[in-house]
Amino acid sequence: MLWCLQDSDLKNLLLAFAKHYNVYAPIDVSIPVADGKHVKRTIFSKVKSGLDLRNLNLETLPEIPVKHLFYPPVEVLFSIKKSKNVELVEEMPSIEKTLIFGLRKCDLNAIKRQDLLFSTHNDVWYLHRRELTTLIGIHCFEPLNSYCFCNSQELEDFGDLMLYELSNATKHWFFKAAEQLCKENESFANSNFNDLKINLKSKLYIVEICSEKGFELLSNFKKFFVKKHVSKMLGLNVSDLELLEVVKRLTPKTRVLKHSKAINALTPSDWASVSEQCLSCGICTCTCPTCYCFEIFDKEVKTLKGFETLRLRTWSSCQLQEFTRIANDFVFRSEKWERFKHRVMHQNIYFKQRYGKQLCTGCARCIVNCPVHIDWVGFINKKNLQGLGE
Amino acid sequence: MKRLQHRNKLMPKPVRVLDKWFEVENNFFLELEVNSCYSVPGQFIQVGLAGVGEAPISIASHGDTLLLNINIVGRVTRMLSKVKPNEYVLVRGPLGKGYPLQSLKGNNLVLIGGGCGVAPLAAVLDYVCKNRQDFESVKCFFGFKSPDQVIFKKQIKHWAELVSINISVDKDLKLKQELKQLQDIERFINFEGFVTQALEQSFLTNNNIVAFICGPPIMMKHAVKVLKSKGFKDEQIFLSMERLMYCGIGYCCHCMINDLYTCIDGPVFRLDVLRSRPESGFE
Repeated sequence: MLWCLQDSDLKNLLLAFAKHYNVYAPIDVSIPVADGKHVKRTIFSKVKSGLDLRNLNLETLPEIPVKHLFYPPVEVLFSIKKSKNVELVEEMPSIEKTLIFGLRKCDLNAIKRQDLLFSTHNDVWYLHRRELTTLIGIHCFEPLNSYCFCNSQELEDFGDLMLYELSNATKHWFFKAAEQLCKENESFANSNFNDLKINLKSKLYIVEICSEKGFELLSNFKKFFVKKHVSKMLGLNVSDLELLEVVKRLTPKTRVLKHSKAINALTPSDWASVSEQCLSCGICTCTCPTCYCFEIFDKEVKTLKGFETLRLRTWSSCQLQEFTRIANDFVFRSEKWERFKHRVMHQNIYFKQRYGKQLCTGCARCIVNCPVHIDWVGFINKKNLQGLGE
Repeated sequence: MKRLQHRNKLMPKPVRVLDKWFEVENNFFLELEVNSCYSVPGQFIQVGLAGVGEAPISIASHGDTLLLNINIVGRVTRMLSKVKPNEYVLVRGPLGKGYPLQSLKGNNLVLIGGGCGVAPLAAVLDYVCKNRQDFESVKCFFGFKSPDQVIFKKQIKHWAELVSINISVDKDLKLKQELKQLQDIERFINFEGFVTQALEQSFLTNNNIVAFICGPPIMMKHAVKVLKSKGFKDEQIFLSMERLMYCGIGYCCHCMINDLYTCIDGPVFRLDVLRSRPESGFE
């Protein structure tokens, strides 16, 4: 038996969550652009009422990841009171319980990799927000777009609850899993793998509990969940738990970043050629779920009590020239290919050398959101790097 | 003297300024009420002012107080130059890895510094003079633009009692006779030309010796070339690198040299470590 959530209960559940948490879910929103026109964008948007959920979209990868919820673009590190002596006051923002629904495995792993980084540096602001956040993921059976490359990025299971859609559209994955399972384990033999005979009347989500936080959440909202004998529903003679274990391993057939260890072997002219169109705008780092570079500076603000100085931390981007500019106007990475190379290398090589995992999780937002569509993964894959630097 | 202690790593401590003086134009010394004995020569601190920001500055002493030598190049350093004794500056540190002096005991040392790059070597010399018996011969080659640009005058006089000091000036060597402010150190100013040329003309054995270099990138590059021509191995050369820094604790990423963070893996690097990093300029 597995915990399941009926698709018809999903929106009610999210609204029930919203009474206790700040709930964020992938929602289509209309964003005004020039000339009174609007464009549709899927973003993790706050769920306040049933109206917001009319445009819930679980079919596409939201354009912007959720890193800003833990690591905001502007963070107040502390304030400085200047009277007789200088007094520093640590600022801790008021943080509410947050629940993020509909995260894909790339985004969940991005959070895991940022956890690794920020906990290494004991970043109190980030860790405090993460502690109060619950993550609900949704499994991808198919790639969400043609650019994703998560299959080569060593993703792990992560999150508090994980949902697996079971419907007429996805049932063949369960039969495939059962077939695989029977090959591995003789006691399940004689199952019927003909998925055509089974017609599922409604969509449901199998719920996997991945952490204590997830268990607690499910217990607190138990009335929305039901326990079902999933393999029986599908006419299969296998164990539910083992079936789910195999389904989990059926990762979407995305493309891969080939020879990632050999990126080092690319020459400056290769980098110049892939970044030829680059505008150094920084959208790749801004919409990346893992990029974390920042700047620190002081700002005077006017408050009720007079002027106050704040020390702020803001997002930065290694794609900007200013990023390595030192005194006397000397820029270390003055060429755009050097900056482009640094981003790709940091994401795929440097971080791994230090923390054991590459930073990049293969969501491909840096490619999809790029105004000139630089597909660096496609470029590297076309290069013959077989056997180099590995 | 108190020792710096931090909870939150991005949180500085207010520290009292004991003294401030200019030896040359656009370059000043700040003496802070912190014991720099706890730092390793070559380490740096982030020093700043409320409402202005922070700048990474090398520690230029090894003793009861903490000395900084600062070139006025930007907004933060300009505002720092206006600080008066008994006022407070905000300090984080000591940060980074310094020169591994403990493990280099028994070696001959050659220190090569250019301009403001003498600062981290000043901390090395303070340490060496206190522990003179730990090292064999110690030769210093410092380069400045002209005799009137020589800094660390008081310290040079003191160090010269225990180690060999050679100062070269890019131009106007004769000017040294006319300058009164040199405080008896004119006898060490003995070469007109770049410090790397002075180094080239000197006799150095490459046995049982290590070199510490700090200065402008172009000077460091030439100094390395000269040392290599004298038979030094990469493992015998240590360099203090300069990069833009914000956090100083290895995660704002501004100071990266390929995969290395200057702020936590450096600022002092052994040359063989930099060889495999094209962004260091020493490939």
